[in-house]
Amino acid sequence: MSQSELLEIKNLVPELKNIVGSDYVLDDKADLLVYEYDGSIDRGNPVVIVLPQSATEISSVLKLARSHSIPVVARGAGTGLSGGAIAEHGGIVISMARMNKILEVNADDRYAIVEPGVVNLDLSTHVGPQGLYYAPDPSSQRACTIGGNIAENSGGPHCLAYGVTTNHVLGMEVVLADGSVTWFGENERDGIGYDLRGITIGSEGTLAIVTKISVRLLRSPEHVKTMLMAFETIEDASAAVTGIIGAGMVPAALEMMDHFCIKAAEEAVGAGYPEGAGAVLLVELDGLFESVEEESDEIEAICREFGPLEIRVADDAMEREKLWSGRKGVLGALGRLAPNYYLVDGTIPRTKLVDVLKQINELSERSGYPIANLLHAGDGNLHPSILFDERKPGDVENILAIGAEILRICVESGGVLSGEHGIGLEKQDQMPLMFSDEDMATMSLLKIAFETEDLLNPGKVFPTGAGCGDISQARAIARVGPGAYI
Amino acid sequence: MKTKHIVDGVQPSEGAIHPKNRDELSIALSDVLDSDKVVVPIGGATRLQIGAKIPKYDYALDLSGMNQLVAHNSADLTCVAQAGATLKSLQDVLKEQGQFLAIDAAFPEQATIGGILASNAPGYMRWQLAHMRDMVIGMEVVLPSGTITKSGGPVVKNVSGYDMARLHIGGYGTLGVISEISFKLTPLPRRQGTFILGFQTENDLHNFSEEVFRSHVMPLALAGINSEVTKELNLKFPASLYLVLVRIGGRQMAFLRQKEILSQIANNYQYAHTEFFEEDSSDVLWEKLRDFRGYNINTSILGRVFSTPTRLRGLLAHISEYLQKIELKVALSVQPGFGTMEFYFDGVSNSAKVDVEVIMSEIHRIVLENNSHLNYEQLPTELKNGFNMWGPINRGSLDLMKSLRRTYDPTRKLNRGRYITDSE
Amino acid sequence: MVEAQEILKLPWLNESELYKCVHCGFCLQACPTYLTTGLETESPRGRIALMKAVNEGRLEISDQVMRHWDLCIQCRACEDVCPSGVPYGNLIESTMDQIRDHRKIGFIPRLAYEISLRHLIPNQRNLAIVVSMMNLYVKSGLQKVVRKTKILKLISKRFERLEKMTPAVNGKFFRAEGQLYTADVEGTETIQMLSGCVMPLTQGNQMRAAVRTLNKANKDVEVPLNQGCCGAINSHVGDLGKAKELARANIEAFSKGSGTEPIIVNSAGCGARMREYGHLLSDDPDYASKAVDFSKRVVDINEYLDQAKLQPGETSIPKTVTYQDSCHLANVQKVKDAPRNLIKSIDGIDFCELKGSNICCGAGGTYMITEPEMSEAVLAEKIRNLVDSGADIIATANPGCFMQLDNGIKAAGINVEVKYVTDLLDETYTKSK
Ligand SMILES: Cc1cc2nc3c(=O)[nH]c(=O)nc-3n(C[C@H](O)[C@H](O)[C@H](O)COP(=O)(O)OP(=O)(O)OC[C@H]3O[C@@H](n4cnc5c(N)ncnc54)[C@H](O)[C@@H]3O)c2cc1C
Ligand code: SF4
Ligand code: SF4
Repeated sequence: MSQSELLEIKNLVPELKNIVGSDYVLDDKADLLVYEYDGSIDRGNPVVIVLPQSATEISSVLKLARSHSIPVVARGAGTGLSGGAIAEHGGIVISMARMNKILEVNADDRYAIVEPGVVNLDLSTHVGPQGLYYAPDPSSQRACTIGGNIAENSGGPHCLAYGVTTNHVLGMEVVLADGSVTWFGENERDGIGYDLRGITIGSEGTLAIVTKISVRLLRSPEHVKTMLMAFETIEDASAAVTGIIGAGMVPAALEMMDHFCIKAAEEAVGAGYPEGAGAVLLVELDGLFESVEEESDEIEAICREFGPLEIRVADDAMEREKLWSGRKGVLGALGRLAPNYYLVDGTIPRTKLVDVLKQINELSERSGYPIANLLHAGDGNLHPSILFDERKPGDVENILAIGAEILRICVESGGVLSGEHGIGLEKQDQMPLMFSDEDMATMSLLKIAFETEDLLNPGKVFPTGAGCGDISQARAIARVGPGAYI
Repeated sequence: MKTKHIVDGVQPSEGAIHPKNRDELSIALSDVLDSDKVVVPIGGATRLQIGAKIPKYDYALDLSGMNQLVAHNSADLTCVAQAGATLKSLQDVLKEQGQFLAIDAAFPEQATIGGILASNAPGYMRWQLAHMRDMVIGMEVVLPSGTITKSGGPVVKNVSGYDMARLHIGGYGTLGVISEISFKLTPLPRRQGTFILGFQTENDLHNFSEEVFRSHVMPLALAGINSEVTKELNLKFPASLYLVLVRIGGRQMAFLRQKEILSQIANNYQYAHTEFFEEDSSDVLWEKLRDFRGYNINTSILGRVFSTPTRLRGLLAHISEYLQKIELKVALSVQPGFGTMEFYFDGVSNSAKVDVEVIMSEIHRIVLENNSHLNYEQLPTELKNGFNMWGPINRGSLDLMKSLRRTYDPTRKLNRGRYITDSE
Repeated sequence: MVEAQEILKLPWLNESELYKCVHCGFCLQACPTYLTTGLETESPRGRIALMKAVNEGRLEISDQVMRHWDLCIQCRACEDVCPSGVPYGNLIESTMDQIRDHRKIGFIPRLAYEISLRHLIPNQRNLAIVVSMMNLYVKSGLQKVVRKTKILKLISKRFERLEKMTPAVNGKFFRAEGQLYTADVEGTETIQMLSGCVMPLTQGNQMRAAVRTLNKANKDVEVPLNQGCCGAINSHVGDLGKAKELARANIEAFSKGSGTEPIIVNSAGCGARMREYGHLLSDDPDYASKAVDFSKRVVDINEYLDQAKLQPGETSIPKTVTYQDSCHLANVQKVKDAPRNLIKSIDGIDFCELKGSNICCGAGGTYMITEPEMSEAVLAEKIRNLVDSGADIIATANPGCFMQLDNGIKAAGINVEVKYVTDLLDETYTKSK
């Protein structure tokens, strides 16, 4: 962003203040700095932050931005792991923090209409007393917003049986790049015309700014059961996962952690995971009492074939919470094993688990960097976390290369670049691993059909230009700030 | 010339093309260079009548030759198939492994999966198993220019790039031709069966459905049909205003428990007569209902209503009242928990005292008044002239849809003049 | 403002603690100032980002930067939820300590600080005199006059707030004179109790109630002589030097018995500070290890009574009661269930959870006086939730929260009482039906 462009935006501050109120426009150097980052490794420099309170205000901001060709980036809670909310090309950041009201809960029709800044967990907490919940539950659910979830099409442990965000959104109100406000879909389960709702979900804030969302609510299950199974090796655990899925079972959640994760989680929260296990599986079943019981019996039988060290079952909420506590705390706990970790996100066919984990292990041994494996195993979504120390020269370059290598392994095994964190800035240059030029051109046409000027969250998702690999790494390293690896 | 390729009574002026694979499909499309020419992709032709009256028709692009199951990774509960494969041919293979594709469109022997997806074909199984678009995990599409593109992949969780498949599901082949699809599969329920109850009032139909909705029963399907449907389907059942069919499934104990809950709920309804059909006989019941297309396929009008469960209550009451007033025989099938409804009446030889056009717009008015949407999916060709089958849609969305159409198919090579985007 | 070159780094910050923050944002929803403003500048992650930027020389310590740090209530809710284990309390404390010198502070506020926090609160005798005077002020009716004329509002919002906070003295002073309160039955254990600074003077009755409940749990309670303020307030405003001084004095005062008695604290803020003497004095060669031992002995009264399985008395309390977590009990000492268990054990009480009970009420020690606007904004949400809860009584475990809630309730004109958990317990023994 050039100096004159900068100045031009600064000149708009009074107008922006007119739109959203003077307390809600930030442009002090210190204030901008606080909006430089999200949960990922990247950073950008926004020129001004606005915190609107309605679609009308956002519409005015977008119209103003457009008339001056200024980029605009929407921001939820900034927990994204691929740089989606980062102002890569400067410009205006629109924070959704003040649009955080639950507007309507219709228990009979089982939907709720919420503003995009509503925190994921708050919605479930709010509708809980009516025996309802909102199913997608990213591990970041107590912080991330529904708007951000829509942009990233977020998943979570319980998305195995119930589906990710897109499966739970009925409709939404959006502001398009030209400032027009419209609804995509409504509260019905189905409608007429192209599925604009569906195409906007997962578009990483590049097509529209979402201002209201109508989500589907599910009825809380009658019975929930959590099982912990410890195996001697990660191969046994992976084989058990393949066995469970292959037997035609789709539990509510099916998570896996390797020995690094077990160790870290044990030290951090003392969840009581068995010592000496090479991997543990966490299986959760829910639904009708009888079906939970029948399925858990079957799953237990399948797992017995792979010689588990231990099987532990939790029926009541407290016990379940304990089993989950290790899983939920594990990311933070990895900090106990090394100063930094770099979490990679990719998905593979579930039948390739054993093979891919073996390759990742070999990679770890070859490179000398420990890799902790944390998996939404049930849907083949891997989160290998490379442990390193940013203060050691060369570590950053090395782990970024390892990360890229892991993604290559995923794609070669029939998998994909990202299971739930999105492409954003982090993986834009790896898109060619998976997509042909035609594929990417076809995708970018979509963006053009929505807006021709590329002002909504520009510079994301698609490769920045020449080749992949080297450039992406160099760029990532250039952007990396100390300690900023998740 | 195959009758299957006739659209709105019109034959393709240049004949039919039968690609066998993606490359042939690509060539077929790129070869149509004349920007005036119109291509209509055709699968099983079971839903070809939907849309405005065809203004121009040059090529029938018959995909039934692209009918291979490319891969079935049963241990991963996924499969990949060519778009021209019929639903039945897929289900037959999957069934051997105790799996199925959770899509239950009509006429599965003819209907191809590409056509089913493109036309957003409804099915009764959505109640529990969600929308069929949620079964699609990857898609290959050939653009009007002939460019082959893909998105997604054979994994069940994926956020790499835009979710392009969404555009083509319900896109009625106006943005590209679906050539290959990756699906996620569902294990077949070990046991299944169907409860049938007869009700004398509409209220009972809604109350009962709501109770089921609130209970711990997780029906695979739930539908209410009026006596006209019962009669047409030849179901032997004591006379009642509505029959409710509840399909349940699961493992042995879960199945029995759901059956028990259903009987308990049914006991609260004094006039209910109940019966239970299991396994094959239950299948047959749903197949009949699924394939029901009104009175006479050539003269029948089919309207599909999208609403919410509670709105549907008022809406149905108003429509019934109106129908009684004009003495029109209408077959109604309602999915109370899902919020959709279909109605059929004969557009040519019916008993009504009023003009068909008046009936159509009056029903439409009632639907809109109840905050719902209506789409006339099937109309006799002579009624199509100038009639907006799609119903109103908000301006912003429509503009964007038109923009998408312009972007991907600038010459409107595919299905010109038929889809909502091509309306004025 | 300070010259940028001058402060290329904040050498006092423990870098490895600072860089543990991976900016995941998990702490946003725990932070009262973020929840109130919606601004990330008033969030834990934002405050840490500013520390990092200053540390990296990317940012100078401007007034704006200090403003964001000052607005931190230091409730440490962010620390409790942080998956990466960022010791936010340490970070903000040392930040505040170091920027004290960078402040352009007027003479009067500095003098006020010197007098009140360096000399008044730490000295029981001086404090007692002032409290007596304040009591007179309240009782004489002068308070009413002052309030009516709104004269203070004209002078300053802070003074107005300070005045509002003037507690009505509750019963005789509770003095730490080395006395021993013995249990009715042969005591199984002797424990030592902190009397503290303001609380024994303004809330003598509550102190005595606490002692009685400890006696009911069959403990003999000793109140060691020469003990004093724990130093929490000094650390809070960035005067670690004075805080250390106070800590050393207390370590001495409580070492006169066997040196192993549990030290029971009935003010959550003090308990939190004392549990971290180990960290506070870690660079003091004479006291480092003593401080660690001392900290291990410190137990909050609620936790202690819950573990001792205290049996409440016969008298039933037929009221709806809710509980507001004291930040320094829940977030620092990780005591969340004990007070709830105690309340629920009382006959007749209908316990209800307060929505957002784990979020700060805005008290924050002197924060309610130094940052009145934010403090009141945070409190407003609390009072809204309190009204929604339908409770007759809101229980707490910390004098700051007590005052803040009491104030909010009075201002809102609602019919809810604030009580310590130990007050409720005490009532079950003393009150008749
Ligand atoms: C520790 C940790 C664990 C995580 N676990 C998971 C997990 O289990 N599953 C998972 O899927 N993700 C996970 N994430 C990633 C992240 O939480 C999700 O991507 C989340 O959806 C981001 O939400 P947000 O509100 O923070 O959005 P942000 O990070 O603020 O923004 C993300 C994207 O959304 C866009 N956006 C935000 N609001 C709007 C709007 N109203 N309209 C249009 N665009 C908008 C932004 O422009 C940006 O592109 C995790 C993150 C962390 C730090
Ligand atoms: S939760 Fe911890 S690591 Fe995450 S942003 Fe807050 S302080 Fe940093
Ligand atoms: S201590 Fe409290 S007020 Fe300060 S940043 Fe943390 S949560 Fe916010």
